[in-house]
Amino acid sequence: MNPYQPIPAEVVEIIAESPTITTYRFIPEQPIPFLTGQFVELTVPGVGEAPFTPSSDPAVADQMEISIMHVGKLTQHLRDKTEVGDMVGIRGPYGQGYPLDEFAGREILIVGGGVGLAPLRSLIYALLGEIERFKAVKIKFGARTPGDIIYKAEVEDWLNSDELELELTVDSDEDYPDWEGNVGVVTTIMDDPDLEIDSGVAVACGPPIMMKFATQKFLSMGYSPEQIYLSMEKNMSCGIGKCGHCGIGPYYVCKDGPVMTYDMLEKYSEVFE
Amino acid sequence: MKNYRLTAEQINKLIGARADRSRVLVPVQSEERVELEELDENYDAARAVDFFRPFDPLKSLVLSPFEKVAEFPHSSQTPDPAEVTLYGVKACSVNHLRLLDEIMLDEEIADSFYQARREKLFIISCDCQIVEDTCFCTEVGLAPHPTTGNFDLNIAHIEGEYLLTVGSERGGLFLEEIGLDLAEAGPETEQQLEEQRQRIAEEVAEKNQEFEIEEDIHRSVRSNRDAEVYREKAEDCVECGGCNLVCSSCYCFYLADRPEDQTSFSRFRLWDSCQFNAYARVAGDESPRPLLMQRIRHRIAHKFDYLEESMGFYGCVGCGRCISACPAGIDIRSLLAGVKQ
Repeated sequence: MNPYQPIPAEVVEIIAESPTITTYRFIPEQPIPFLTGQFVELTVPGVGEAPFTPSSDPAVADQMEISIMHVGKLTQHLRDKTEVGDMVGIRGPYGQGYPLDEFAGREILIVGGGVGLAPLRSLIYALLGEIERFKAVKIKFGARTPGDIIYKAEVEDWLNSDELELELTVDSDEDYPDWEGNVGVVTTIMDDPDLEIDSGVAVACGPPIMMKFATQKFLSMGYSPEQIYLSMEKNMSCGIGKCGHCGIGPYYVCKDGPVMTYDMLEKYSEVFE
Repeated sequence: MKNYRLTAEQINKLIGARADRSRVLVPVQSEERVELEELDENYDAARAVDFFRPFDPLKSLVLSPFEKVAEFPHSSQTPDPAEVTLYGVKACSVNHLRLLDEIMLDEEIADSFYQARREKLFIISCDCQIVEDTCFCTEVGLAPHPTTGNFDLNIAHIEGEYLLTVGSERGGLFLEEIGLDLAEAGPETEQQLEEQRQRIAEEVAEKNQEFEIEEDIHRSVRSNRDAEVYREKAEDCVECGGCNLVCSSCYCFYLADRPEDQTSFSRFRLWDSCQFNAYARVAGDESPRPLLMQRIRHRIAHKFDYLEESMGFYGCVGCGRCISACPAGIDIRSLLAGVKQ
């Protein structure tokens, strides 16, 4: 088997989520089953390849959704040039996802920021799929402004759900007079979560700076490094632990991550860079 | 492992027999250095036993510097390399295969291109006779003779005669096939070999005394991440990446796609260097190691801390190629000496 050969996949839907984030729905030529939190390498023909974590329900294997923030060459090409019907390439899935078996029976605190809600949506689908296995699920999510909150329909559902608890915050509501929620970074809504800390787990996914402060907050709340699950972003190129690019200490994020516990990472200064 | 006595003539016969079966690459002494070249009919294989190690890193034969690895939408890339016999390489070159195998032949997902070439590589290594100023295998826990396997046959030159060691089943089968009628070496000759190996290893160690490298490099690299030496060397380094490219143990590569038309492309694998700022760059041009000092430290930490932790051995075989290649005169041993506390 050639590990560098992508599977062709057709773009079947393009959904604008926010001014900077778009969701693409793909149908690959053959199903690509994945575990929530694992990532894939997405190729835009002629432009290159980059790692993304699917944002769709892992129970669905014949389709995949990936939500993409347009910040680099490849993602800007996707925004400007890619249309429904175009073909892309997908390799994977790779790495370690969220260990749901280890989460079972425990109270889960999930903290997300910005495009970090993309992998977390997949996790939330997976949790909701077997919600009776988990003692409690509380989600704290932050965005830059109310307009930057993605997945508006799902977020509305989750806000009204009895099965989990979701709280939102925005860094600024300046141009949004209707916003009634919290204003401030996500760590400002993490106090008093009314959760069992000792037996619980804490999950963070978002920009590096948010993950850094969320991790500090988790630690101050009493979570130990082994209870903190971070979704790491590095320059994963080969995806299979060979090319060297995504190294953190003795680990390769593509193989040992992207979901990693903080005790694996805490002694390496580059973790949140 | 069995040792046999071997004459100069038999060495040439043996290499000739390899040429009947495969492509053969041999060390050739050029004006400046020893290089690997195709075997030609006037080649004296016995004389080459004593040559210094070839400059070419052996990795280039198994992990090609530049190769097509996929085509889109559909690929016909199935590696089917010809068998290659590699003659006259030294222990340092052979030792690095231990690391490459560990990375590339990973049980979960093997690199099929590496795997195909590795299976077709027949290695006839030779004990070191010449110790150059750049040699430091003994400082990284290795020796100037095979200690970690990974060879099929090995030849040592001791006082007018040659000793052949069989290192693999394949090597043994080949010997049987060609019927050289070899006599087994007695305990006295083996004792002689042992003494010679010890003498040459001591010579390497003596040449490196001035650097005063700590025995537990892993510990010093790990505990002294803020060593001043990283800043000092960053002043001299010109970021050419030469140290990575000639390094036997560096295996990093990147994948680059070349468009063929609007919807198809070819994917190439190219060697990469962790000394380049773009190496670890993520979306939006952020780099976790923007300073050259951090990248030099990463190279050292990866080789002597991280790989030691994940593999149980260093990502450095002490071959000294990076020392010869560096245009700024940076000697990796002075980096290792500099992290000593």
